[in-house]
Formats: sequence, structure tokens, C-alpha cells
Amino acid sequence: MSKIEKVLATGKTHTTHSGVGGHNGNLDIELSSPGSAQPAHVFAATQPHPKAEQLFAGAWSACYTAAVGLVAQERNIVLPADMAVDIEVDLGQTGLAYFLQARLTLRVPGLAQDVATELAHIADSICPYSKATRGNIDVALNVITA
Amino acid sequence: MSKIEKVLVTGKTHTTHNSAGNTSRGHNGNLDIVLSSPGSDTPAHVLTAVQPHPKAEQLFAGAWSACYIAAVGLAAQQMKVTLPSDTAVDIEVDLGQTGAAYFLQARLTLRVPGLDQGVATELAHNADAICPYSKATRGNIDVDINVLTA
Repeated sequence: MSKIEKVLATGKTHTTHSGVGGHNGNLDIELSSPGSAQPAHVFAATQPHPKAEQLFAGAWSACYTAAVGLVAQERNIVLPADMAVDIEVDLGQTGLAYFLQARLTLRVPGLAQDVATELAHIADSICPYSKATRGNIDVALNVITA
Repeated sequence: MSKIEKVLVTGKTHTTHNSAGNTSRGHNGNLDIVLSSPGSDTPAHVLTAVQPHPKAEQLFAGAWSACYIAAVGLAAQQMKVTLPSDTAVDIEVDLGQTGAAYFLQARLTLRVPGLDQGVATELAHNADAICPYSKATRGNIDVDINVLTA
């Protein structure tokens, strides 16, 4: 895994359960879940012409949000209604080579910090997008409960 | 890397250069997204998803294909290959299950009508070697690369 020396582009998304619109999104995409055509998540990109990194962040965050829900269910944790996942994906350069790196932020206002941190890490261990990039890109996982 | 036993969802996208200005040209797309490139707000690629409410796998395929088509352009420049104007990249990403665990797998198809098959194959693999999305998933998911020159 190579460290990125210079960030060229960052894709930022804010993903919530469906019903909550993006707060400043020029591109709001309603995503459906596997096995259902019903919109399950809303992801808000911040540009009318998103970068590839925003789409990737959107895919990852929809999946990660679902993974958080699955883990919470298994552990009898009630998620706050305003739970959200913010993901930033950087495209960067080291020398002439291009690489990605990412920051995941789980927002679960009102949950105990240690419960939320455990939730975030277990969700990361089962999310197929986290697995697909494991060891290949730098990923920072943040948890906000305030 | 685990093999997927059961595919749950497939996200398909078709990505082309946005040579027709700002016009979305998706042939059957319910969601056409015009993408800009790093360092530029000018639309560079058009990604066509096939559903009004795409699955996450379509967005990932769209991100990968936008990057991969740019990598093909870069590799072509390095190899001094002139790309046909109808160059396109089709990507399918599967979400699947093995036991209770979820995994991804992908199929990349580079369409370069008129190019020599050997040259096109080398181009496809060189682009895969430099594309940061290919690097990010290398060894972690199953990826098939196909090349169509007809």
C-alpha cells in the first residue's frame, strides 16, 4: 500500500436512510437495496457533475449504512433516527502513480462512544466495499456520537 | 479472496467519453450522470445506469469505469495508439454471498472497435495496472477483463 503524497480530487457524500434529503446536494440519488426496487438510502453528492470518487463514496456509504443497520440489529442496539454516514474518497498521486484513500465517519448521535466505536468497526469488517479495499488503500474510521 | 457462491445484485454501467458536449447520451438510461475529471469541472465522461434508483454496485461500477476509461486514454498515449471515437467501457459489479458473508466481484469490458486484438488486450491490461480503482481492489475481489475489437 502506497501513501498518497498529493491529493488531486476528493469525493464527498452524505448518506442517510431514505426520507431525509441531502442538505446541500446538487445531485441527490435515491438508492435501492439488493432484492428491492424501493429506495432505501439517499446519497447527496455536492456537485452537479460528480467526480468518480463521489460515486465510489456513494456506493461504499450505502453499503456501509446497511452494514451498520445489520450489526445494530444483531446486538439489539437502537440506532438514532438521524444516523448518517459521511464518506470522503481522495484520488491522489505518489510520484507518477495514482492511488485512492478514504475517510468514513459514522454519525450516531446519543449512542455511547464505545458502543458506537465497536458498531463502526464490526460494520467495517462485514461491508463488502471495506473488504474489497482492505490492505490496498488507507482508510480512516471516525465515530461521532455528539 | 473468497469466491462468491450466490450473486444477489449486479450493477451495470456503460461509460463513454462525453464528446457530445454536455448532452447525456444514455441509450436506455434512467439515470445518466455526467462526470467531471480531477482538476476540471468540465464534464469528461457520461455514465449510464439502468435504473432510476440505482444500486450501490452501479455507482461503484460508474466510478471504476470513469477512472478506467481515463486510464485507457493514458495508456493509449504511452503506447502511441489512437483510440477509436466510439471507445467505451462496460462494467458489471456483482454483490454476492458466500455463506453468510457478502463479497463483490466485477467484469470489465473495454470496447475499442477496429483496434488490433493483441494491442487492445495489452492496452486493457496496462490501463488496469495504473487505474487506482483496480489497484484498490487488487487481490481482494475477482475481476475479469474482456476486450472487444469487433
